[in-house]
Amino acid sequence: MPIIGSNAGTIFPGGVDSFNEAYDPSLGPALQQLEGSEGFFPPNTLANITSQSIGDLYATSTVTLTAGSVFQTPLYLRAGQTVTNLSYYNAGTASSTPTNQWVGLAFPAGLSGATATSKCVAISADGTTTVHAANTLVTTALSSPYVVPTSGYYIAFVCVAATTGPNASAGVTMGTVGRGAFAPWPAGVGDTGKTTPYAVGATVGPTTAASACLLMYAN
Amino acid sequence: MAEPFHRVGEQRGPFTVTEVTFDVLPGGRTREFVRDSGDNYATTFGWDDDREYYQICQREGNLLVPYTIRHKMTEEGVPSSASWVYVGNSPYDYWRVLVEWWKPREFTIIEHDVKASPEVFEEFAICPHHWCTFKYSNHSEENAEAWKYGILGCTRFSAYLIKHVPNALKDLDWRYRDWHVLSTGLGMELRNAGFEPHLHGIVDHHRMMDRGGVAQLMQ
Repeated sequence: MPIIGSNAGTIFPGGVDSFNEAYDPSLGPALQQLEGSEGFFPPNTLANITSQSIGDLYATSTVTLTAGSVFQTPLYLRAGQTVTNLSYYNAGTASSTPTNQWVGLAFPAGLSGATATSKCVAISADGTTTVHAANTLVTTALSSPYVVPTSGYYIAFVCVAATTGPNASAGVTMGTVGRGAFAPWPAGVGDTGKTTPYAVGATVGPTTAASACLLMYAN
Repeated sequence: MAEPFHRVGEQRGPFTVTEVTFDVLPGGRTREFVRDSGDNYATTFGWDDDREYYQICQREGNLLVPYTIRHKMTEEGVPSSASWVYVGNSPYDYWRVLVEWWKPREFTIIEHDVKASPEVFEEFAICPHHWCTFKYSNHSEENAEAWKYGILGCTRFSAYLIKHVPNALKDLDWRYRDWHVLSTGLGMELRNAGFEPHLHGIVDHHRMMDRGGVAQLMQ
């Protein structure tokens, strides 16, 4: 996923740009067109998005964040980029009686079938009992801003332990046929039965089956 | 009239709310932005929807089972005299039902994802306390403590308590009339009136997991 946008006039190609749809003369029409054609259409309530998992236009479905399951989505990050927050959308179902909720990053993308073991590199605090309403863009701060050391795919993950829901905006579930029959599965559930956040450095279990890819933003 | 859910200075999970903005948009839409001391933030789009009281049931007996799905395990846990009331037509119907039931006679609530037992009702019958609850089987001690004031799943209210706070539900804040946060709002009202919950034992919070869980079934 390219990282391009309006700040490129001053920092491109030496730094990380943000997505904001503004015309950027330094990028030129070709790259500007690419940004648009990939469906990046970020919300105007979240500033300085530097990476996102999938194009907004493809987040046409939802997936229920089953209690204690770690939902993983690949997120391309570039060396030198700082990730302060991770965001996802609560869709039509709010959580009820949540007890734990957190987000984080893991690297390398130890997706199922990969040889490298994925480790947690950044984690948020536990949001515990906070109830997020339906139709909420939930932005959670990492405990420390994460400066990306190596370009590549990382795993952004979300875990909510609650009696019901929530559900989150996502692409259509891949299913178990076609590409979904082959590991590694790029998005899905890794560890289950979790309540407390990972410690930085802890192993993050790989996805075990294909699922939907959450729409997540980094800024 | 719609109002923001969050208030500056109130708790938001383990954090404190530091900033709130709230707008009523054209067409009855609302937008709320909240930020907390952990620098987490969220934008929620909602509606200035109908949260006024109107009667949707008549209180019958002293054992209420508010439900959206009649689950066999819940049925097995309550006597046949239990009053099952459907609350799935609106997120505010659970509140409307409780307003009707909040008359100065004691009553017990068993929610639709809880399996009670004769011993639960025997303990409630002889307990001198005014606000009795059972801890959920899936909650750790820490989680049970976090939700101490916000559990309705297996709860008994005495006639004395209801007489003491007769308008606790009728005058409940607009923001707490949604079932996701109803228990939190009522718990705050009772605590402010000087009551403390009396914790009994553990009740089976089955959450309909044999059918995929409440979250899946309620979508």
